[in-house]
Amino acid sequence: MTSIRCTFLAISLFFLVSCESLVIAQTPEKRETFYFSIGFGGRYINRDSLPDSGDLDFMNYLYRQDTGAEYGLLSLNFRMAPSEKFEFSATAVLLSDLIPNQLNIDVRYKPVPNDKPMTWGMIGSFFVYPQYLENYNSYHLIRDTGFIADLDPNFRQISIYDIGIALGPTLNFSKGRFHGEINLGVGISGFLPFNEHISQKKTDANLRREYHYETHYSPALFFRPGAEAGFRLISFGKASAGITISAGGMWSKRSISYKRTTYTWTTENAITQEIKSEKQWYSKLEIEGGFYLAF
Amino acid sequence: MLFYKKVMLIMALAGIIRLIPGCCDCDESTVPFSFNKTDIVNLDNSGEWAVTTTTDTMKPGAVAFEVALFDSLGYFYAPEPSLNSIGFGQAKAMSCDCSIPFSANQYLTSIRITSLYALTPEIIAGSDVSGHFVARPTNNSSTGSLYSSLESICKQTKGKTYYDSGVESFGLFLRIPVENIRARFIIDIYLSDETILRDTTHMITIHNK
Repeated sequence: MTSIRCTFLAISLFFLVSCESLVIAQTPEKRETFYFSIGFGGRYINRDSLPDSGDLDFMNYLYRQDTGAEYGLLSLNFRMAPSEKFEFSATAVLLSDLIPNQLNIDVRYKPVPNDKPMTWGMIGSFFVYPQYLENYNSYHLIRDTGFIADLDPNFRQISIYDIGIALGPTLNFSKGRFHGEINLGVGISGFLPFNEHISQKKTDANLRREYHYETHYSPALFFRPGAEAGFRLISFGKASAGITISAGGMWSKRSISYKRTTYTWTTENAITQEIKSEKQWYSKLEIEGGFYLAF
Repeated sequence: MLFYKKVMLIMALAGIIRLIPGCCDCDESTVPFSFNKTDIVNLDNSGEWAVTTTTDTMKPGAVAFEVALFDSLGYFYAPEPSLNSIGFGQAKAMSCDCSIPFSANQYLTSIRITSLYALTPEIIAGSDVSGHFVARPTNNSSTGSLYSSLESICKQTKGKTYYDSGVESFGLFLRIPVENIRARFIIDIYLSDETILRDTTHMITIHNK
């Protein structure tokens, strides 16, 4: 967790330094544009709930609700356009724990900037966001009869991180008070590896065993469309403020493969197996609205 | 007035200097003792974790004992040295939670367990059943929920420093279900100075319900 935050910080610092150097490199007549926005919204996660086969499938235990958004979001976005061709964007997202552990970094490139209402370009993205993985011990609780299937009485919930990169075209439009963007992206992402273990004891007997799970990074291709629209409410000098609404999705076929080591009685008695879970559809949809300030 | 301010400043600095090294300075030298006595109590391991019990009834698959080795002279606890910080000597917390470290004169080399009754039709009375037992330290050095081999338990006593008390204790757990109605074991503990500590468990009634 700490290392991920440090990575965020390092990437953010690199991004800011890069921006600054680009600003310095600009010709004097160019004016940088800064853009801050704050948004509120929700994230919906959907995945096929395949029945566990002979092995535990962690994908079945990604947090989800029957109704409503799985996660409430508070996002803080900062954009900077040091020139007409480039725009950099960094977004920190806070979930209900108010920890900024999600980061999106986008770089937009417009090869032919013009004054027309529509311009096209390319967008490259890096993102990392957390998800809850919970209650996965229920696989053992249901299956391992005759055992105290999990000696840990605490509710099982951990955060796992999906990290990825994407690239795709973007179409920007601007007309009067309105501005907006539609983008499409394809990329590759995967859940960062994590380790978990389940300790068990046979009822009325001395037998103890432990299952140790060590997941692997299993990258998968994804498709990621997104759209954003803004409406300028007021202008004062070269600054303006308004409201913004955005939506974005992500679709991919994902799996979490892992190494499972089963210890019986002692650590000397170990059986190790590589488990490849079946891929299942996974989608993420985010909708948010908020306010922006550009100057 | 300026003079008094300077004096106050110097006294304040002196106080701060006293506070900085104000942590307890625990004596790390060990107190030697010998293992010359053993104690065996029954363990109820039918639930999640083993707990000591006074009953002599056990489940067939949950036969377990706790063995403790210690010095009959009673080196369980050594008093901490008296507080000797006076004046501008090293400042010290009023109560230092210093554990007095003990060091045994011997270490365990092996454990032999002999069954006085047949455990199964194949394991007859008088058999060496050490290989059918696993162990688990009963103090804080136990990690995870799994057991250790008897060899591992012996090995960890070599050069060991005992911080809480001069007692080596561990649980012994039988891996096979007992098919007899009673069980009793002789436990021989071999020490590095060639001495053997022997003790016998209580007569255990095997209750299958």
